[in-house]
Amino acid sequence: MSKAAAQNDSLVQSTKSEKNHRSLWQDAVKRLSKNKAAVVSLVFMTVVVVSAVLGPILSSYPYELQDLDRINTPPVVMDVNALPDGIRTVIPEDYIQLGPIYWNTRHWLGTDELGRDLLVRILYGARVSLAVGFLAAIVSLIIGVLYGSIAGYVGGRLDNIMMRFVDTLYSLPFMFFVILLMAVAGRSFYLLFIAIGAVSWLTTARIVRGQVMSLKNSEFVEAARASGTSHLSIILTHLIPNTIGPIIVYFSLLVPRVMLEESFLSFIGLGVQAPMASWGSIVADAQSIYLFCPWQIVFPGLALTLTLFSLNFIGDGLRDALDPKLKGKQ
Amino acid sequence: MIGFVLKRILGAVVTLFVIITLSFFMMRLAPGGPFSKDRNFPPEVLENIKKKYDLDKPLLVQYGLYIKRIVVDFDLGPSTRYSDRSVNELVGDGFMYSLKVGLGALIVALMLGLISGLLAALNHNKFLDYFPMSLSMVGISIPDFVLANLLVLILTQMFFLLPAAGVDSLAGYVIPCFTLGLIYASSIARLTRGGMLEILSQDFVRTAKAKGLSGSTILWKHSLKGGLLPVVSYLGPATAGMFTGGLVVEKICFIPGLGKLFIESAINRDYTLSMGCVIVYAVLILIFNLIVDLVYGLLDPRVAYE
Amino acid sequence: MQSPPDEFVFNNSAEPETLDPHRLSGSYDSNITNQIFEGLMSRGADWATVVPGQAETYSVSADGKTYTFRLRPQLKWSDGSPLTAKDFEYSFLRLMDPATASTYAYWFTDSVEGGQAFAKNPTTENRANVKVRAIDDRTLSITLSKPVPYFLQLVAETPAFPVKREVVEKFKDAWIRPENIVSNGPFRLAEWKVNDRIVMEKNPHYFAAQKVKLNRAVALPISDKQTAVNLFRQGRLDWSGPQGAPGSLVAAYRSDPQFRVHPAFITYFYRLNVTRPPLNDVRVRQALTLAINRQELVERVTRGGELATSVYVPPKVGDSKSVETLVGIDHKQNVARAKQLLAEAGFPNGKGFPAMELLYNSDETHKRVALAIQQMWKKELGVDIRLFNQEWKVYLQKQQMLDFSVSRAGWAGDYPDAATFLEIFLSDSGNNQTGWKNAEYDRLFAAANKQMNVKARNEMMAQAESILLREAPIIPLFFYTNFGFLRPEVLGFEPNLIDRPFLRYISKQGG
Repeated sequence: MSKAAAQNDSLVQSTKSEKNHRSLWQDAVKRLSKNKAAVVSLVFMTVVVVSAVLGPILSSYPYELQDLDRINTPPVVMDVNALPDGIRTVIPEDYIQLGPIYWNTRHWLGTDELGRDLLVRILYGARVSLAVGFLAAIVSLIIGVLYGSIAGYVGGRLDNIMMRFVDTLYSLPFMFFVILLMAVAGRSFYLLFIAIGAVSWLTTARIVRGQVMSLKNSEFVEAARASGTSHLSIILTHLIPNTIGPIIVYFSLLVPRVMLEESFLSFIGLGVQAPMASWGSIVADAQSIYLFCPWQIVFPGLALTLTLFSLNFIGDGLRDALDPKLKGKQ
Repeated sequence: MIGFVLKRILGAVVTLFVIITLSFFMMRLAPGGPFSKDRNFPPEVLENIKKKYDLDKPLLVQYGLYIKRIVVDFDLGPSTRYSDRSVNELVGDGFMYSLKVGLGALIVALMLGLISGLLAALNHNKFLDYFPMSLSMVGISIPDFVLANLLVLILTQMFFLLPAAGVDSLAGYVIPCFTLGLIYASSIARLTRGGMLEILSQDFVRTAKAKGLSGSTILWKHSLKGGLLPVVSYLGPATAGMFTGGLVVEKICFIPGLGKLFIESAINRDYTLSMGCVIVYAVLILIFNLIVDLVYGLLDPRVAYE
Repeated sequence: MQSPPDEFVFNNSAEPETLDPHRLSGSYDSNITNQIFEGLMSRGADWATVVPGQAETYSVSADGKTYTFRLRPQLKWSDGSPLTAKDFEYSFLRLMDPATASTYAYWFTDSVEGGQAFAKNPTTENRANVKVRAIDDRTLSITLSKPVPYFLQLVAETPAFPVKREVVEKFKDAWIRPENIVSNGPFRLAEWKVNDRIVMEKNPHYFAAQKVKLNRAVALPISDKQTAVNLFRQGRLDWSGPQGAPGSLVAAYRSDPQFRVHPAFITYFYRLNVTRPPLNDVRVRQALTLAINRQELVERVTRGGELATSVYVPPKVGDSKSVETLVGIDHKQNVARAKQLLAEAGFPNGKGFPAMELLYNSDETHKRVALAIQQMWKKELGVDIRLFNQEWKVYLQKQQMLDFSVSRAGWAGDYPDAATFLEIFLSDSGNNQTGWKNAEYDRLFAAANKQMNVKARNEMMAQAESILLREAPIIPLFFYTNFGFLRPEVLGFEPNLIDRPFLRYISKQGG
């Protein structure tokens, strides 16, 4: 038995039949609603998603609009008339004084190196980051579920070969393949999450395979088989729906991981195409001037970290809720 | 047991072969070769260079020659970018640096991860559970380039405590080892906590408690072995990951390690060097997985060596 | 932590690919090779001037075709063995031999008599016909097939450095390793750990060794600019390297007395693919050129002290010329003219202008420039372009295959002469990469290179450049700057166009 299998067999162990499906879900929702961290995270994520959708529409600044008169304007300053330092621009009319501090009323979170509104860019970046995270996770899910359920259902030799292949891919350096995939197939937004998804389906496949193997000899599958249902439809209508619990849990932990990977790709310059922005690319852009313009790294960094934080909490909460036996296990 | 090991080694060799083949053709498929430069070689010169690296031959012949060279001579060939250097040498040198940083990171990860994980499990649902666990959540949620930059800024520029970069002194290892270690420590902490909680809730521990055995005996004698199983299986790929280094850490801390070599050789299409890195990485993963499986068998009597 | 006064520790920004003077191509390579080798001619601290090197005198025949170099007496290799004209003869032939596969062999094969035949077909007979001859131990004669006005410049650069035959033949590719290498420059290679450090020590056998002040120099290949600055701040570097700071921070660092900014011999420009409609219409190319506000670009976007330019060849020492450019001083007028040209080409206010991509390689500055220009073209002309960022090798390949519409480019001069810039847009140049061919341009360039009269030659070069700018297969944007932190106690490191440290002239106060 090898590492990832061991890691996930906790998720694999649960066997449920269709009959107690509904009550299971009701129980899960109840348990989840008692988990404070998960509830707070869910609320936070809702706020993030809503503002990501509405924010860029409501704002008066398009995310790509440059204002070269307002390069690197800070969100707050102590003194609007301080001498310029060569990097930041402060235009006194944009600021109002509240207490000892001047607040930027034109660009609430300041601007970046091309005078673009940081708030709008963060909100727009949320769309991209979340889209990459979710879409890549979905891609990995689709591949993994199909692959895993076929291997598990057919079993025997085919299963052996298919799983050996998964083992092999596990020993491949992930980033090496993402870089080459992007080079071979060109750089597009879609390719970004397809590439990430295409290399992160392995664990999903393992989980699903384990589930399917433990389910395929259960009574309701036998019954379906006896009544002449085709193999494909058994897999699609009976087996896959029953693996949904562990998959949701794994999915919720995969999304933040993918978002982190996207930020790494941005760091090495392989992220989304400008002027499009993701949180990772906004942080990476500000890397060289963070000493002078900390707001350019703090706000998007905070958005990224808090979101990953909540997604991980939600994932943990879901796992506890769907499978109380496994409480707290990764 | 010996039969099991032999079987696994055989499997690993097959796996390695598949990996080499896959990477070889992926690499050749990627646009731009090792000799496309911003200053183009005159065509006759390019021909000569290609000849030197056998790149003028059909792809399958190149592949055959490459496999032959690795298997027969244990030679990864000359680097196509650093033309006076062999890949064996480059990868060997780089690996020594990454190994040192990786060992440091492993120690950091294990110490912090195990301690906070155990603390959390033993203080389930108390402050000492929530606090380290929230911290570990930060650990898995913060991009490493942000963390590394932050540490460098605070420790070397605001307070001149450590050298800003370079590993010519022991102090130079602190930031890279911590950055790399912290990321893994978070996962280890979570796994430790989870594993321990599960074991502690099992019947035999309850029985032991009922028998009046002291808390520490239960912990050390009975629970730790089973509770750390998930950590052990995680450590296989994690250790391989730490030993092969991280691009970010190596770039920011200026370490001539394998991680930087790996990403840069892939981007530079240094065919032989990046293949060499893939092979080292894969071999390490396979070795550590084998070790993990063996350790697993020792710790958990339920797992028979299939 | 600071280095001793007889040691200079600097950032070389990247790991050299090789130090073999005949095989290298990048500035990271030649910045090291120039310390450990020396050619017949050498360079002053300002890089642009040629001074006697291993040769103490030279003479040129009246027709400008035969150069005779007289070597200094008692020249020695770093191992103490005598260095003679025979060594130079061998080295020039090694460079020109196609088996060496040198990027720069063409500098000599194109001009030395017998060079082309030898490069095409390296037979013993052709080898014997190459007119590089050691007359005696101290005299070398080189005969050219045509006069080359800047020939001495070439002789001072890395491809013309001598290598020792016995060492090269004995150790093959490994001859350049510190344990094998024998060189003839002011320094010798003491240690070379890949990606870690290169250590050079004073070469006691160098003819002017008593004038070399440093005893040791260490070059570090730090690619992360912020890391280089951090190390400098801690006193662990004497020089933070060529472009030794994050580009976006230059504006802030400029007030620091230890920071210096000076012009570079590099032009930043955009290539236009003239084989692709609508860029096959010269009016469209001119409109795109005119609509860019270069002053705004350098003052507000790049902000590294770059010099905005609408001409292609950077200004250099001792050089006056009159190049005609489309772009006038008044930006408003330029834009009006651009609009008119675009309308004439059939795209009034950008209407009907097809989708176009701007290709650039992953880099902070390239991205900002591209974004700014995207907005300028949109605003002034109504032309929409999409940015297309690619990693280095893919970018190179696309540019090579003419698989782009607009592409970011830069060109660094190899020697201080307009030819090093203009030659790449000749019809048959492998570095042209625009699809643009112009017979008149080729003719002027060839004529200029036969012209020994400096003024007349500059005039012809300027005419060629004017054609290039009028036809606009490229859009010049700005000339780069060199910048970096240099410790005040370092003396003799003159700012030069290619930011090469000449260790032989450098010393440190108290050293």
